[in-house]
Amino acid sequence: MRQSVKSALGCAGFILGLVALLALFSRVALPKGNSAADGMPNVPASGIDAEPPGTIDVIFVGDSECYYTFMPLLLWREQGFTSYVCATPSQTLNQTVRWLRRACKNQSPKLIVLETDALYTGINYGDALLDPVERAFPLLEHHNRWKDLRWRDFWAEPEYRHIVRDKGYVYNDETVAFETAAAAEDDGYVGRLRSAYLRQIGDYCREHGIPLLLVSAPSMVTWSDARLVSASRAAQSLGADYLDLNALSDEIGLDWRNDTFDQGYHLNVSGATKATTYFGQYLSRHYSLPDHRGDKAYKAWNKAAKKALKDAI
Amino acid sequence: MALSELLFAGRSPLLVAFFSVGYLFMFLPAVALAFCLAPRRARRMVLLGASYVFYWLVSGTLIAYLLATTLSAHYFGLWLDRLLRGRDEALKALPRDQRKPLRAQWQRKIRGVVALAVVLHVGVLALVKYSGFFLGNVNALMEAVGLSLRLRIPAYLQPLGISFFTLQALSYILDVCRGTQKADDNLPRLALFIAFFPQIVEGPICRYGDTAARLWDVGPMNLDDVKLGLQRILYGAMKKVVIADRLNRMVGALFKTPDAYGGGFVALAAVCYTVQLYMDFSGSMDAVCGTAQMFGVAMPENFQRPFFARTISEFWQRWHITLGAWLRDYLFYPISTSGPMKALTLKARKRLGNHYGPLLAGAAALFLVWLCNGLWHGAGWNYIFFGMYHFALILSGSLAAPLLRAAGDRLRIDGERLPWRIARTLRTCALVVIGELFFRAETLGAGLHMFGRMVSDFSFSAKTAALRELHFDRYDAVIVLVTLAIVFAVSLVNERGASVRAWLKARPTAVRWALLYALIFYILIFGAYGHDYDAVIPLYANY
Repeated sequence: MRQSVKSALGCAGFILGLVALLALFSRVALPKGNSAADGMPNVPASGIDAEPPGTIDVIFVGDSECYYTFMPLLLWREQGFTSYVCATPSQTLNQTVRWLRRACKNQSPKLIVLETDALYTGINYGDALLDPVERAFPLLEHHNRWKDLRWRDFWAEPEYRHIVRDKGYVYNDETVAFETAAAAEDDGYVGRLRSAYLRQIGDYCREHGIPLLLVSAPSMVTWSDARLVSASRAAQSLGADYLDLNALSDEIGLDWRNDTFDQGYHLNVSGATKATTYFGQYLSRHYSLPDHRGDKAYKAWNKAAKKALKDAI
Repeated sequence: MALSELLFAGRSPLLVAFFSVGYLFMFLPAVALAFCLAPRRARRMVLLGASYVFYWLVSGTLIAYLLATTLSAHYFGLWLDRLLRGRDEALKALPRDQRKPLRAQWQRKIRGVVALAVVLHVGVLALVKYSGFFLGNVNALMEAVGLSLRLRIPAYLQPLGISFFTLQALSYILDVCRGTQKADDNLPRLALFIAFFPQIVEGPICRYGDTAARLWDVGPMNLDDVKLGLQRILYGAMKKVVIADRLNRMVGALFKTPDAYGGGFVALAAVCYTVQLYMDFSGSMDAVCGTAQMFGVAMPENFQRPFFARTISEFWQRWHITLGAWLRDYLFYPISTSGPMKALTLKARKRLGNHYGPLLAGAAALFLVWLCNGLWHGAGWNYIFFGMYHFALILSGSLAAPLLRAAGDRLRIDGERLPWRIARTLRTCALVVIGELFFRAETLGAGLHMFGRMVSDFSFSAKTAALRELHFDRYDAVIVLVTLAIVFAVSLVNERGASVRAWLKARPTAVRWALLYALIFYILIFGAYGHDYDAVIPLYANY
């Protein structure tokens, strides 16, 4: 056989073997449950996998601005619709697309809420290239689980049953007052790559008939006029609504001496309660969201809200 | 949007990380594809174009420094070549006994041009890299003597790799001046030599005579070179991604807040930093040499198993070899063999004998070499201290050599026996680790403080919160030790003159594939990458 054909077949064979081994190791590395004990990263957001199918009305996506601001159990108690915060630390828009797809695998939300801070978190082309590879081969994302592997990782199928009580909200009751104005310094520029992922989010919502709402959570650090302008332009280009909660701080009743745990970067539970109450009223006025209060199928939500909100407020 | 933004200027600084997705799976394959598709004579231009694209993506408009250095080296080279030819023609026309004054006149002209070239290139480097340090010290001195005047300290953006490509350009100019290299009127060839993308950020510092022709006359890619190159890149990835990047956070925490830990931890910090630095730099060199090999170009080696050295002098012949060779050839030898130094050596030999006599001139040259070595790494007193520390060790080694030899003979100690070789190697390692403690410390004061704690409070005490900051558990320790054992085994085989790569090439396909798969998955599973780790730019990319 000609040497070049032999070499080409050899290379192809090596790559096929590599792919097969990647698939095998990925099966082992994939967490078999969605709790911290199972090695699942981002446990609060991962609780979406355990929610009964078709029970979540609103999905939130974004970064820490999202999971420190929006309280699904308070929305449930005050407005009666269910929601889940699928937000993760420094979530980039390519990750947002993945979370959206993951959340909507078992859910049929009536609204997607995208917190806009993710528009300003940089993505490089390497991350964009790695995205589909990580999806296909979870070993790359979960490789560090080698420290926590158990026997069942080698034979069991994934079963996500860990219910996260606070539905993705992360509770913080400390208070560290905001002191000086330190708004975001960039010019609000949303690069080509991020714009492309934003369009993917818009297309996904459109294809599935789900309204999209862009919201800017209150922050004295990650907000600026430039970001306000670019976020509203982004929403316009997607045909989505946009709400800037920073501009409504007074209406919401925020007090930046008492409602933040990190000098104005994020809201603490006191600030989150105020922001969530306002936001819940806004959603109920502008979107047709169901009221499940009184529905026996959702009694677990009553139980969770009773416990969580008693702890929180 | 500015045009430079539109053209992705400086948008991919992470490309300097040779094991990043951007470099390994986007940039390098794109260059390889363009190279394979290009006709023979265009391949060199593909490499040159790729090198400038690389630098543009990494450093943006600071590419102006690279272009200016290249043009400057080119025209200084031609100027010197014209002067040298003029000198030779003028001397040929004269009888032999009349040539001396004319030769001296021409030499003055040539030295003037060389001095101008050196001042220009080193001056730019000094301005961009050292002006802040120099002016800061002037201000501190003025404050100390009670003067109210303060100089404004400018902030310059430092082009990546400026310390490397400046030395490379200077070596070309100096080789032309010495007559060991003819000036090249082919600007693109010189440009490719200076800008070749794998080596521009971290070296190795190449010589024009060794590398330029190989790059310019590059042949087609062949599968063997690609396979060997990729294997070398994989081996480097194991060193950098599994060991160096895993140690990064622990080393960072220990050096940032050393007072939160006992002196034993300080010693651990120094050891771990030394390991991190070697694995990071040598791993990156594996990527550089592996990349070049893929294109059929051999790069000079920068490391020869330095931790097998038995003396500090030997260590520096095995560590960052191309920098040491540059300083030796362009600083040490010209100084130590200059007229005044030769005269000094002659006088000193009469008084101090044949061993200590030449040491005087050698010491003066060595002092300058180590001052420059320290400063080359960074603008800081800790770097100067680092250079002086090694100068003191090497000089004291040379001074003590006859006494130690005599003592060894008297006590009938055979220094070549294994226990003594191991003892000397471990001693050398310990001395290197102490030097790296100062090299890595945030300031010289911090380094001295850490050294003091290491000696006076050697304990492994630390608060639980401080231990958590290390982000390093027993599993990490096992993986680092296992990987170090692998690197040690490979190094030992190579030290004995055998070649692991040649051995691997001779194995049956099934064995080769199994070992390669094992290496790939070792890196994928145990590598320090992903959301639990911070991306670590190669450490020497900052110099």
